Amino acid sequence: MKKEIIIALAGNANVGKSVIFNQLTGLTQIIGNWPGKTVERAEGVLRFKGRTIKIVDLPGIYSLSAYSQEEIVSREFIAFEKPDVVINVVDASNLERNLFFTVQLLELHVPMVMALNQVDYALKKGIDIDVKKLEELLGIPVVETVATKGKGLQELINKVLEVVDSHKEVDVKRYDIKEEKVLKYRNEVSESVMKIYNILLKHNVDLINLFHPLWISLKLIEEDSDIVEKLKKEPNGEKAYEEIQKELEGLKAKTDNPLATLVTADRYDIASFIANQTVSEIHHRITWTDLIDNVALHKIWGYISMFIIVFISFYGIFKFGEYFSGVLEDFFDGFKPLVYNLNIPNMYKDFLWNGLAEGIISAITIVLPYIFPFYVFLSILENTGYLARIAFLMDEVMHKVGLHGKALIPVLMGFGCNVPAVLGTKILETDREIFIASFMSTLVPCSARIVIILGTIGVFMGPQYALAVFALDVLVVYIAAYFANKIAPGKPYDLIMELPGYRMPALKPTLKQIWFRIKDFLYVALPIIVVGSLVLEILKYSGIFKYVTYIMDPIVVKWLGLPSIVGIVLIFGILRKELTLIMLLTLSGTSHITQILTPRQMIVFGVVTMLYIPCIATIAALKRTIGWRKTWWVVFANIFIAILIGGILNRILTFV
Amino acid sequence: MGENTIINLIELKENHEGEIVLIKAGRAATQRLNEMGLVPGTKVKLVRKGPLRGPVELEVRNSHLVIGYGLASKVYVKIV
Ligand SMILES: Nc1nc2c(ncn2[C@@H]2O[C@H](COP(=O)(O)OP(=O)(O)OP(=O)(O)O)[C@@H](O)[C@H]2O)c(=O)[nH]1
Ligand SMILES: [Mg+2]
Repeated sequence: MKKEIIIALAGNANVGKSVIFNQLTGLTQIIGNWPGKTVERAEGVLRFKGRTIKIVDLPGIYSLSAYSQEEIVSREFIAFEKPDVVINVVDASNLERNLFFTVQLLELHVPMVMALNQVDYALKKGIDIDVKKLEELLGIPVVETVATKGKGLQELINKVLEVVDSHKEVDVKRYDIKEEKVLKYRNEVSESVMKIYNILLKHNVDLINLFHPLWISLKLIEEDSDIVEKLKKEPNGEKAYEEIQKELEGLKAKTDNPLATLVTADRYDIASFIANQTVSEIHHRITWTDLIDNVALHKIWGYISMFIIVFISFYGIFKFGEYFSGVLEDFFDGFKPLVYNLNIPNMYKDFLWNGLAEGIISAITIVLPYIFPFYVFLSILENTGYLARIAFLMDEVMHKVGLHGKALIPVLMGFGCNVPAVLGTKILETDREIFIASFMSTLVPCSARIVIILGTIGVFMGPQYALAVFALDVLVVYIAAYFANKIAPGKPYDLIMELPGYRMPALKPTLKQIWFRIKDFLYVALPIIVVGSLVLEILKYSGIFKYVTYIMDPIVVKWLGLPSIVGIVLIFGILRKELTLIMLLTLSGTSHITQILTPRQMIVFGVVTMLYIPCIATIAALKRTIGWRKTWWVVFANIFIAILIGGILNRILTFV
Repeated sequence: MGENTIINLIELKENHEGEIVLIKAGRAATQRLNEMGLVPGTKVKLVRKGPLRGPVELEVRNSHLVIGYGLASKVYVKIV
């Protein structure tokens, strides 16, 4: 009995793999209702019945002939790294399309179990599935699950263990396609498979020991470049490949379509056959999704409703934040006398209050009240399925900057945090698209920067000014992308995306997701803020600021028209954007920004902070996604854009 | 338009159905469309079109797909 088991969660995008992963491992992979959230494999451990099970969550894929970076990750893992069991997660409400991928796993003959997920949602759509029949046809265990409620997961793991314990190696030397029960291709294809298989056997090609002969033969019919390369590298590979080419000529002569299309069509026929045998649609309802989309995707109303949604959420977040920020501020102000009445030297009082307390208090009173409603809103956006609608509506607009609509989804995620946004651009097909979209993401204000703008410009000048700054940002992002597209020109891929149905966000996973994000602020940002504030206080006494401001003043004071100390807080802001505002306040010993900045300066400060540089964590994410060279380019472009626009604003606003 | 007229997806009217006969795109794009369920013989319904050169939304195999304008114009259907 194997003690350490590796299992992989594989299946189409947006079927619930990551929800299952989170439930089993207690970790927090990004979940949401649009295809393409998971872009890198994630691993977690489950201990069950005395055994250690390593679970691997993979990006969603529709086939094993992967295209984009994240899909290649999945293919490599399933086909080359060979987990002990593959859990094929499928969406019960969309069985036929999901089975197309299942068919390919069956071709690989990997040990597998099917998790028939979202049966609750399927039932709502009036779809019923005969599980017994499905098991029989596929020849693998099928377990019904509702991942969001944790239903069926225990049984799923039990089945996985059964499969592991009863697994027998297949003899690849004696394969006959006629023995397949459900994998039935058109005669010409079946015949070619057997011929190719015999050629591979004859030349003693090692490849068939790595992957099942059926799968390799089909891949060779499809002319999959990766498998062809692998074959050619073998001792007799070239010769075998030549013979296979000759064999395929006959097949090619019989059809107008590429051979890959034939194979794909056959796979879909198998999938439809299984679906027809097992799915019964009890009743076809006009779904909510259809009704909502009549408005949400309408040529005119779609855009109007998009603006209304943005507008309402903006004011909602602002009003909520403003109110609670006030309440918390009154509460904490009561503590200041406590420190200053202590019987210790004044310098220590400064350390205590400015260095420690003030930092934490501003973080809690200014940041927390705004990020909470913001994350709630973001979760709703992510989990209902609306993000995918934005991709539809904005597809053409994005084409102008060399991207397609789906590229906007990771970019929009940047409003929460730039790090997942940059990493998320891997759903795009080419390096240039990934580069442009990551660059755009860094200019999108993350929650920290949104708070700075709401908490200063919004509170002290009025929400309409904050809204104007965000509108300016949208313009800047778009123009920046336009130029990036000029530097890295190329035709964008066209959009191909499955449009998910709307879903009510599942309560528990959504709350967990919101908590996870706030926790990041409490456990990561707060300590940085405290340490940063302390360091700042020490530096203040060391007199080092003179030199720093001396260097930065020409830009900060002369060009941007800001107070000299802003130069120092901008440097600290690279660690964490919240620091810029919090330090500005602690350094000037006030919690009222109006005492240090005039309205004009407030806007310039807000805009510069919004654009000036990606924070350290984002730089690290950029490096992983686009490499150092392009990362530096992005960093310098940000600095340049911030200085340029900040300076222009400074000048224009002097006249008004 | 009579029976058996062949048009591309952009020309197909909203709420009309067609059966795929041919995809005239590059190798990779064709394969990708195939794998999303658009193979010769598949029935599709055009649900809606985006404004101007916006994408089209299709209903195919009981699920909804969005396809960019450029690609949609390379997918040919026979009206049914
Ligand atoms: N009603 C219902 N919704 C579910 C169920 N499982 C998952 N969902 C929802 O389906 C959506 C997608 O879930 P994910 O786990 O993020 O999907 P995924 O397969 O990891 O998707 P990618 O990472 O994009 O490939 C989320 O909105 C989930 O809340 C389920 O059993 N029932
Ligand atoms: Mg996922």
